[in-house]
Amino acid sequence: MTFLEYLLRSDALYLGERPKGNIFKPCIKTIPFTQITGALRKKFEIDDIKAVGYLVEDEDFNQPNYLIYSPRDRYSNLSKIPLQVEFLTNVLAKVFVLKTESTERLPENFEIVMGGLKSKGFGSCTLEKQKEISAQKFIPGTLRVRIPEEEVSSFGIKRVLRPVYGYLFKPTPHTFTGVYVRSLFEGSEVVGPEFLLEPLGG
Amino acid sequence: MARELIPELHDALKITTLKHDFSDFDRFAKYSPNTRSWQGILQHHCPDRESEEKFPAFPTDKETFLLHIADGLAANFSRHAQSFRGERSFVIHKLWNPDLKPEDKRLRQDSEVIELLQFLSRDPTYEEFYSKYKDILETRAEDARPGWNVTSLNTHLILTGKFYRFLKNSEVLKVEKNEIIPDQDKIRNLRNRKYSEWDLYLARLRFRFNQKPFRTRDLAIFDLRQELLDQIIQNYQDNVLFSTTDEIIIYYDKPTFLEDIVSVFLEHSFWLAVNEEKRRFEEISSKKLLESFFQRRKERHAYGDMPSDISPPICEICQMAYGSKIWPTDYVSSHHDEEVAEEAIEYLCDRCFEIRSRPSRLKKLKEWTEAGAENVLWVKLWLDYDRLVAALRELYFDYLKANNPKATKEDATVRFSLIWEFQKDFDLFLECFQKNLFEKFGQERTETLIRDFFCIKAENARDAFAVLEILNAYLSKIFPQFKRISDGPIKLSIAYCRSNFPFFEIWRLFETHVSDLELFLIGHGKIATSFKYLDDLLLASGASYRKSALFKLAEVSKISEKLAELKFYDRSERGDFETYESLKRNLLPLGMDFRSMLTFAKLVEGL
Repeated sequence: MTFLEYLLRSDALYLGERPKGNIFKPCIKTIPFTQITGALRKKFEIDDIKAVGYLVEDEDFNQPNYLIYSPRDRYSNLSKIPLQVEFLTNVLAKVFVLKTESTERLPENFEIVMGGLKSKGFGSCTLEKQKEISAQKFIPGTLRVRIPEEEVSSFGIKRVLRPVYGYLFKPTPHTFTGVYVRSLFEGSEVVGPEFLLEPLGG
Repeated sequence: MARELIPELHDALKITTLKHDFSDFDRFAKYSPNTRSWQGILQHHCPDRESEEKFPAFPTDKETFLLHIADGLAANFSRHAQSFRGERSFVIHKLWNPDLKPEDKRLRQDSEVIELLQFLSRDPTYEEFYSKYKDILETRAEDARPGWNVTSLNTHLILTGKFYRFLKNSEVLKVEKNEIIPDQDKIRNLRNRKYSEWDLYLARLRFRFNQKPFRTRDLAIFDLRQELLDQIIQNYQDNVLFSTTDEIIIYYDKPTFLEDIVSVFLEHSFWLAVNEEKRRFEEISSKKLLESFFQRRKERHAYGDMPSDISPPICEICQMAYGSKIWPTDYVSSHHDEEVAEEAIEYLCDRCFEIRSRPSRLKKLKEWTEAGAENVLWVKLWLDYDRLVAALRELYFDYLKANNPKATKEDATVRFSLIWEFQKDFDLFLECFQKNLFEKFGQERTETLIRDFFCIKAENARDAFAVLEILNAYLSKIFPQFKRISDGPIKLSIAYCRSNFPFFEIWRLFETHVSDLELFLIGHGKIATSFKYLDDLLLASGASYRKSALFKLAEVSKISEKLAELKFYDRSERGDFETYESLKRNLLPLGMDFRSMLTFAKLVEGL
């Protein structure tokens, strides 16, 4: 099992969680499977891409910022209640793409658009290939990423020791809807490939 | 004889200077009470044959036998295996407050001992006994041998009482009346047999929630958790050994006991980190008892019903269940409350809807939020159990070394009685902290979410220093040692923000808190430091700085932090530079980098 490691950079990124009270839209602090996989599939029009990612822990990057704007209702042509949106600036993240016959042909450098508020200029990301990682070393550790349960084996997760569950949205192909699927969230303790984990403390 | 045996009274004579083996008691014999509790005082010992200790009586019935085992359990949960000679100390040495040197207040005069015996003859409850002799019970060490005097007699008596009632009421750990044969050897054999047959279960439960509280009403999740915790503490008061606002340590006799507790929390949509241990009674006296308990690898996470997928809409608060209810429509129709009718529509699951539908206690916070968003300080105190055990072990080792240079780290075993002793002081600390917050800011500016979590309407960011002053005063008074070590067990999180800033974002920052003190100026930076530097930090906050220099630095940083850093080191503006030099002088020794110093400058400036 081999992964292609990319470094993702973006000036401003909004990976939206569900809005809260219709007045605040928080931003996810990781790169979930669904977001990055969806963006890559759209970019390359390949269905078997699977990827996850996480934000690099460095105070110079990935700082939250806030924007207030009033989305306009297209039908009534009226502005709704102002929304406060949380987004990340100066984003630096690591993305791991499962190597397959299709993905091994991905370019060294490319751009994708990911997340929300695209019309406001958010979400433009550049990806730069770093290396290929062969998932050979499996250790117990804390997961840094969000992966649907049905996909954990694709990412070399051998055993789930202590799950932290959540749900990720899985779009139904060729429709505007989908379902929320049970997923392992960051903080879950698993046995898996070293590069997706933080070593267990204590 | 009137009342039943009160187990907590079994060591009542330890508040006197009489010998524990009754060898100097003869002159008081005629004052001996005729009560079941006195029988417990006389008959709760049954030392091994080879033991140097000799006592005039031994257990002769089921109750005194159980008292003997309970006393042993409480002692094994507290006493240690060091064996070095030295001067006895009958007063407690608090590891976290070694400068506190209580007076030895034990009863010395014959008249005082007679008064005690007469009091015991009236068959008091433990509450009555404690109320009369509190000063001695809290300062008299459980065990006076050198290095052993780290817990109070009161702690030992309370734990013995808990174990006694636990054994007496247990349906699993049974002693039949006909097993008790009034012969010291037979009683000893029976005890050893029970020790080799009986199991004790211990569990550490940490209660977590998925909810991301957004509206003031959603903060009722804290109330709910506390109510469920209080219910456990109330229903199983003899089983709980340690508790905070988000975890408990509890012991019991059968595995199904835990299932009942866990299921109550799961039903209310919490998830739990569960660490369960089973130990033979005979194992409990072994060294490293507490350290070997609750190892991370043995922990499991317990979740309630988790379908493999959920069709939209998903609950907007917990995002873990189908959003079957519509807020506020369903609330307005079921509660006939029009106040929220204009609020935006949200889909909530049944549980989150129930929580939001609770009448909100936090009226002041609601008012601050509705009144155009006031500035607030969120203040949360934490007690980290793992760090507590580690810190107590270090402090205990230092204490043992001072008594005996040959003491080893293995000798410094931290046991539940020490944790219990600590918890009493921690509860006092919380009480003082809360009382002083109210005094400083006034009732009308202080909202209590739970006993260790507050929201204060702030005049400006400098109010954070007032909170730190209170913290510092009570750390110095109750836990001065935690200001001398790194990674102590108590942590304080403070966040300064607008009252309408999403609470769950604050909670996320607080939950990942690592340092002793973390102070967040939302959107403007963070200071993370150790309590070791608390005095220096407060001193630095009171130093004289040129206001315009701080203002300029804060304003420049809004455009560019790098530019602000350049300005910070720029000598050309002499007046400003003096202020920046002063900041460096005060803060660099505290390990602060430029970013933290900048946050500090904004804090001093009041933002």
